[in-house]
Amino acid sequence: MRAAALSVLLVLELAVFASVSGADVSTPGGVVDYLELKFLDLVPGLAPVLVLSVGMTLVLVTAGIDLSVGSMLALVAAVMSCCDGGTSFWFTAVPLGLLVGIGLGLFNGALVARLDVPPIVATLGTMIFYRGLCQVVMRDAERAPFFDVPGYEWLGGFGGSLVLLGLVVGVGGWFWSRSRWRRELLLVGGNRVAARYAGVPVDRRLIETYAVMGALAWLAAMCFTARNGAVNASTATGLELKVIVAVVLGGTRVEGGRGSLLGSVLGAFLVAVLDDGLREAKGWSDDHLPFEISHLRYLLLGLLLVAGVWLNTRVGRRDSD
Amino acid sequence: MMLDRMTAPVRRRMAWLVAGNVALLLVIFSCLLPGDTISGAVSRLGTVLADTPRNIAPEMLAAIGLTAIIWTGAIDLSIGSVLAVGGAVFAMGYSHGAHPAICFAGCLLAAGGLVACNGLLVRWLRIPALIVTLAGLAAYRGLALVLVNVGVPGFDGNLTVPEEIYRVPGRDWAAWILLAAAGSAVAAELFFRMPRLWLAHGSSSAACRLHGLDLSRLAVSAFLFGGFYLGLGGVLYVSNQQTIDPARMALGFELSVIAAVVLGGTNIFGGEGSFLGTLLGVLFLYLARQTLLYALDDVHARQAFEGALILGVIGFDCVLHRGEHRMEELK
Repeated sequence: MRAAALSVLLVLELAVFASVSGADVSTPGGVVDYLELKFLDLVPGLAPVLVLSVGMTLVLVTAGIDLSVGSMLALVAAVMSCCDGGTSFWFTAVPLGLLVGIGLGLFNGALVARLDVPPIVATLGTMIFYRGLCQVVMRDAERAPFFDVPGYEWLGGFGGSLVLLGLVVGVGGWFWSRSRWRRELLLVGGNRVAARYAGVPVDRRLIETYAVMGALAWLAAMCFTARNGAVNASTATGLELKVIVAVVLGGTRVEGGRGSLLGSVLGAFLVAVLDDGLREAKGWSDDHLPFEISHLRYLLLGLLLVAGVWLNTRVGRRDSD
Repeated sequence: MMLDRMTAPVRRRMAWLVAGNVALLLVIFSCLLPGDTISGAVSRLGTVLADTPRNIAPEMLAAIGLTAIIWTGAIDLSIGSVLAVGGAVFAMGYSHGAHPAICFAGCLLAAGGLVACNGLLVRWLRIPALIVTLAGLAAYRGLALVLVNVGVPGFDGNLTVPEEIYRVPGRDWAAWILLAAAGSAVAAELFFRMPRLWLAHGSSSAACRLHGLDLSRLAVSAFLFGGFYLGLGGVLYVSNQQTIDPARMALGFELSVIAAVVLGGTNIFGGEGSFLGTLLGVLFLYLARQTLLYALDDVHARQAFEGALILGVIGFDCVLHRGEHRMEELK
């Protein structure tokens, strides 16, 4: 039901932005051309948000949240950019990035599970801390060794992004739908006390979840750097909100205990189309609006977040009634 | 009388903070800079002390407001963006030649109104305060940008306010406003019933409900109180700036305020704390930042150190409350 509603919303969004951007969608051929172009353009740009959305779904299912994903992505990319380009990059920077990503995720997990810091406060803190570390690593520089690495740029293209997304969403989704781990995470998010009584190692599951988020931040950093080719200290600022909005719109409850990977994927598409559409509508907005349309992005993301959570809460109450 | 009303951990925290603040002042005094002399150290300490009220007034007022909100078990993550909206409204008034008093009133009403609006949204939509205010974090920043684009003719990213009259509250009156506002808050905690009800709400909402209290109204009243103090802090913040840049204004402000509140002994889950502790917490963080300024040459490392300090403080607080939290889970 929700997937159908999201798909309808997605089509509506595409239709509105197509008309605003002046694309020729008056004939079926025009629509196909428009969608083809849109899809080819959207998928590589969407990859980091989509990869992180998968991880955020897991985190939200456990009644947690991770606001540090943008800073984690930036820090992993910054550390990777310190290594030399060339073939050796695959054997040095890539595993190093994975280690850093998992380490950062483990740190978040330890704060939440071991120290009992509320996830929103812990990850708000690490968001600032990791961004500070990013500034220590990058200084005021921008580094771009990524396009010197043989085969790396392919990851940022349509084919590479599609393969990576297929692996994360397909394999991850298959594992998610069949594993005992999923049921335990749902129980941890739904009722932590019950989970403890049921013998679920709650702290361990929480740490694992945040570590997976860290590993996915590494993958998102690969997608990001393979497309953009450069990284600086302010890379991926504000990304966390897009990811959270995508996941919440997809039907995952912020209180935990319920979540859908498919919903998150559709939510990520909705956010990406909105982002891309606002960018494309700049020409139209210059003629019709007294302000830059890109400023509406923050406003709309905030409204979407509240609307998504409100809907989820309403649906949750109706289900429990 | 005041100390009797506080819980033992809050009293202990305040004692630690007093000692910590004195220690930081000593560190600032004894920081060895190249070519430093005793008179140089005295002058450095004097500069820090003289600038303190003006520099910490916005954060302290915002922290008092947020303390009241956190006491009820809620939180407001949008305060940085709320200040940006206050700044945008101020900029609109200034660019149209409005009297400074009107600009300041607009800033206060906009900032205070948005925090109150957060409280009402939490009440009406019945969704967690952290989600409403996380959405506000983005939405209000967007609103501020839209407002300056629409309301400030020829706005090109930032607006410089060279006239001294627009900076009087933040520069000349900050210490007095802070003294009056902080004094009122501490007096309210001592003599009025409402702050105790906020603490009761955060401590046990079930008990409050059984006692016949309207919890959502209590929460809204805390947001209203918080809105007033944040609005006042917004006026001082805006009038202490030479340029108004809503895209970058008060970025990360919410975290340092939350950290100061938690550092001051307020339990992040609500139900425990004191305004006096919050004031000491803000002072501690400010002095720690000043110490880093003198002791750490590397500009880029300061944010990481500050983040680590905040995380350490919050983590320490949560470890202290870990047992209670687990017990609360099992009830």
